[in-house]
Amino acid sequence: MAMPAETVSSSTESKGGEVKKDEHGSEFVRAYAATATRGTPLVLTLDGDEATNPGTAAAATSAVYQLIVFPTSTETSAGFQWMQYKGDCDFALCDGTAAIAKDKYLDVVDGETAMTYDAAARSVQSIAVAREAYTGSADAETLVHLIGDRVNIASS
Amino acid sequence: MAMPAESVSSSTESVGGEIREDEHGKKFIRVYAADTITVGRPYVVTYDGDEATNPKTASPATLAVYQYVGVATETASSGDMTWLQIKGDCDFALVTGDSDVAKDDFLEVTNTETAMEVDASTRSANSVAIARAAYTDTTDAATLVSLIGDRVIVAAS
Repeated sequence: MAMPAETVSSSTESKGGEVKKDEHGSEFVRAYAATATRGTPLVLTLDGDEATNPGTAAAATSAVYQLIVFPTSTETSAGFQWMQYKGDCDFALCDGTAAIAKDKYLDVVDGETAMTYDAAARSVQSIAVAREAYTGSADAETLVHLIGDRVNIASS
Repeated sequence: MAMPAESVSSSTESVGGEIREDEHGKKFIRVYAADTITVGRPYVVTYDGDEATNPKTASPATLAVYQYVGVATETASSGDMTWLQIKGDCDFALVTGDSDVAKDDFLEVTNTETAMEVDASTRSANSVAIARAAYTDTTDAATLVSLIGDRVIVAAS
């Protein structure tokens, strides 16, 4: 199928997967979720159904590099919404049980619904860097900078 | 923060991080100069929690994490914002020929080095670029390469 230079198009289309970038360099992907809580880190997943692709899943241990996305709104019914994966983000849920200091790297581990302290130096699990400290044990919206690269998910 | 389909926007902004692509497919990222920047030197793109300095440059250091390595497009003072080239043909990348670089060899940058060097004839997890010209002198010199544009691991040596 020869493509004219002016346009490119695939012959089939999933409903999600569109990526948008804002004027600050933040990036968002349109992804499907059965339900979603704003700011929860989710794994961007794929399936064969255009009606649910790409989808999202709760964080689970994996040595495969995958993108972590953050729903921009809480939704109680299934559908597509914009999820942020790169740039400054002031609604990312963090758990400060292990104290989070500004400039520390954050990850998400198996079964968790918020990011936690990873390390002072970047690791293969690092999703974001904290732009403010947080030490509370409850999940709370926290200002972070999402790196935007795919990561591994550790068991703990 | 609900996002209408027509537009998406973050509520806060770091000063850097913008990525631009030119008509030839070259990509550049805007970063904070954490130290004096020398044109052609390869730098790692790293992050911190301060919007005024994020993302920023770092000298290559051994780390088993895939990170972007960009070539400085200009000489800059510490504290300036500047552009690093991360993808595409680049004729100002500093290369050392301590080990002879042949055209089509893959190039990497290793711990604390200020120039790219020969990696291997086949691509590795450390390969930043492929040489478009041979170079065999020991002095760091601007050399024509094609930056692959993928994140790499910085090896110890």
